[in-house]
Amino acid sequence: MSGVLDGITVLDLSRDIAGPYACMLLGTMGARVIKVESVGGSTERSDTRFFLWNRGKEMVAMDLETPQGREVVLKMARMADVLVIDRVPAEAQSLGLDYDSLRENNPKLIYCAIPTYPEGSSWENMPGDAYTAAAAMGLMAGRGQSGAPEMLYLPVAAYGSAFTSCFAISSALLVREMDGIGQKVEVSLQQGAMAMQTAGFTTGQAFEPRGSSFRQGISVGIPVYRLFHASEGWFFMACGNNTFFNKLCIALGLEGLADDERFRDAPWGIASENYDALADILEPIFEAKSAEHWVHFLTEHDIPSGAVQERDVFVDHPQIAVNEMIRPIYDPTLGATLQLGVPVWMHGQPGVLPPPTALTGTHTESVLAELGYSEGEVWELRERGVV
Amino acid sequence: MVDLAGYIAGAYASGLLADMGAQVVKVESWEGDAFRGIGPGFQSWNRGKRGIVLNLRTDEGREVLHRMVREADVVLENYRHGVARRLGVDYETLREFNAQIIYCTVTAYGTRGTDAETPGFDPLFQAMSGAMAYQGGPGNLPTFLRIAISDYTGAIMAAWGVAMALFHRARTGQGQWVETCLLNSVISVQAGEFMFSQGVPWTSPRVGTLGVDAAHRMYEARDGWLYLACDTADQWGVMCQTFERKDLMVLWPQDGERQDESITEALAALLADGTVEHWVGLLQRAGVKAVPLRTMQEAGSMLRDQGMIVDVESPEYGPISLSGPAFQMSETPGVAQGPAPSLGQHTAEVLRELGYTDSEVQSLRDMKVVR
Repeated sequence: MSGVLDGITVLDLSRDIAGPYACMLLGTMGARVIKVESVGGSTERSDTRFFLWNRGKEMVAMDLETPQGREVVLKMARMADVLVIDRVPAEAQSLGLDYDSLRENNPKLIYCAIPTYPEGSSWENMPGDAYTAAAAMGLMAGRGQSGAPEMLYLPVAAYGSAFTSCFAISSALLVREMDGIGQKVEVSLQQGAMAMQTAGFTTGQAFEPRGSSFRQGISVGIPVYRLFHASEGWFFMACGNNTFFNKLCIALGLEGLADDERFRDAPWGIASENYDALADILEPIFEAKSAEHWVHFLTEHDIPSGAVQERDVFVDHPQIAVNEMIRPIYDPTLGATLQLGVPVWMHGQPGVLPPPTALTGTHTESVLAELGYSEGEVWELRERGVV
Repeated sequence: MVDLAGYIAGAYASGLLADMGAQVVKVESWEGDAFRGIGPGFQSWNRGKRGIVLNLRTDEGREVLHRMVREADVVLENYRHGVARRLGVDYETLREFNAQIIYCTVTAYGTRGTDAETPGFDPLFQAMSGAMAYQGGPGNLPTFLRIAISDYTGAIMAAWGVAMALFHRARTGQGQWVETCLLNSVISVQAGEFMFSQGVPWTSPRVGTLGVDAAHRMYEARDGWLYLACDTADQWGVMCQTFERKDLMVLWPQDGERQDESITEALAALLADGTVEHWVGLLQRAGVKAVPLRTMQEAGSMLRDQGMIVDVESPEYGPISLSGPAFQMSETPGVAQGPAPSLGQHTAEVLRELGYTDSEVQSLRDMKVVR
């Protein structure tokens, strides 16, 4: 066995980010992934990210809205262990691709729905995407200074949904292995946003409100776990526990701070009324030298820190090479690319980096042949524009 | 599950497995998890667990842990690399007590290479990886996301890895070592943005801090903000018709040439004249993507209406509410979690289950092995 999901077949009927990314990750762990694309090829092929989300998949080009196309997809769903779909419930139903229809066809199927909003909620059939889900979940309102809204540019809801779908699908595979039953799994983009902001929804009267402080025009964090402006550039210093704070005080020759009753319960026990006092002490020190200097200095003293930099600088971080997290891949459509490696290491059955994204329809014939279609039948489906 | 983890990534990983029904015992050091001080967060990441305090620097403390491992399916830890070995709770040692054990490690940088022992926290990875610069925008100050993207991703990845390892064990009877780290997660949670083609990473277009372009951005209505998105000329047409403003149709950018300013001005003027509820309702009914910009508090109320908020009684904070499982499963629905444990809340209970007598528990307490 090379991958922990060897022998598992995933049928990917999804588009956009969350579903395709989840299926690609399952493929990394050894699953066979068959993706259904529209006959002319997905319009998403104009987005370079498509060639990341769809690596290693068998690409079948097919029109799901024709009766013959539906027949083909039902046969595919019969041989699949997992199906991933991101249509709204009404659309899935009209295509005959809702769970109840497919379960009859394959009772052991694990059916993973990734709609924008949860099924059964008042918006279940509303169109949406990672950004509408994030906006609706409180990730954008009031994030800027003085409560201004701020767009969250990372599609965090989609990413959260992709990872949580992998977790839920794999848990369902475990249940099926133990109890022999399939089931329906749902991880809406809204729930993806919730998973990525879980602590934000904890409420209780006994909790004291603690905000991030605004300094130098931006929200920086709390005084010893925050962004600092240096003479050149910015860096984040993370004294995430009291030991790191003590190390900081010693490193800076400010031992008195560690005993100062305003700060001694650092990091989390510093009262917000004392934030500015500590910031006023630390900021002038850090402003005097470059971010590069301070990251080096703090690292020498075993205090966690990191410089603010761009993605194209970070890719050269030596640990990225050690972890093989950014891999050079020659993509047949795009040419030379750099792409995500394998993020979870199953040391017993290490996953494999999937081959690059195949061209539209590359595997239509082989998959249809496997389903029992003769060459003549495939030719006929092709003539009718079904595949 | 024996949960040796603290902070966020490790703690939340076992919290997610508790959502899925795992029985998790959180093992804390004498001082407790360093992130206990973040009350609401700690409650959320450690939901549904029992908690014990164990001094793993003593032989008796390790003996308790070894007994736990014999009964366990999974051990999860996020010590600094090297600490688990020093404490005698690394994979190689623990599999001697349970050959089928699944052992999950979450570190900052991984366990190989020169940075293997370097400590790290989520915001460092946000800073180094470009997430802060990207959120701030070109030429602007960096922006701290205030969502622990690499911690949360690392947690879900670890939970996923454990679920796969359990699946594999069910198929083959073999346990294994599963590993992930914040460095891997911060790239995974920006995987699309780290897609380099022609030597440059993928980057979203943007207008200020309010959106991607005129057709995908926030607008201020009379009583608040909304976000709308038209991905195609068809949707744009539908929107203009909905607004009874066919004159705006011609403004849809053609040949990639976006007339952002004029579109923005026209839409901003139009939308300022009605309420968020009015516009969002109108657009949604027409099939255009639109939502009100909710605050976290408003989103929390919506989650409560959807049954996704769980009310629990915390031993420390009294009645509190937590977000529930982020997945729905028809046959094995997520578990309604309990609160996070107080420090050492279940020490005696767990030790009794392991076969320790009351007097043995007392003597372990006296020796400061447990508290």
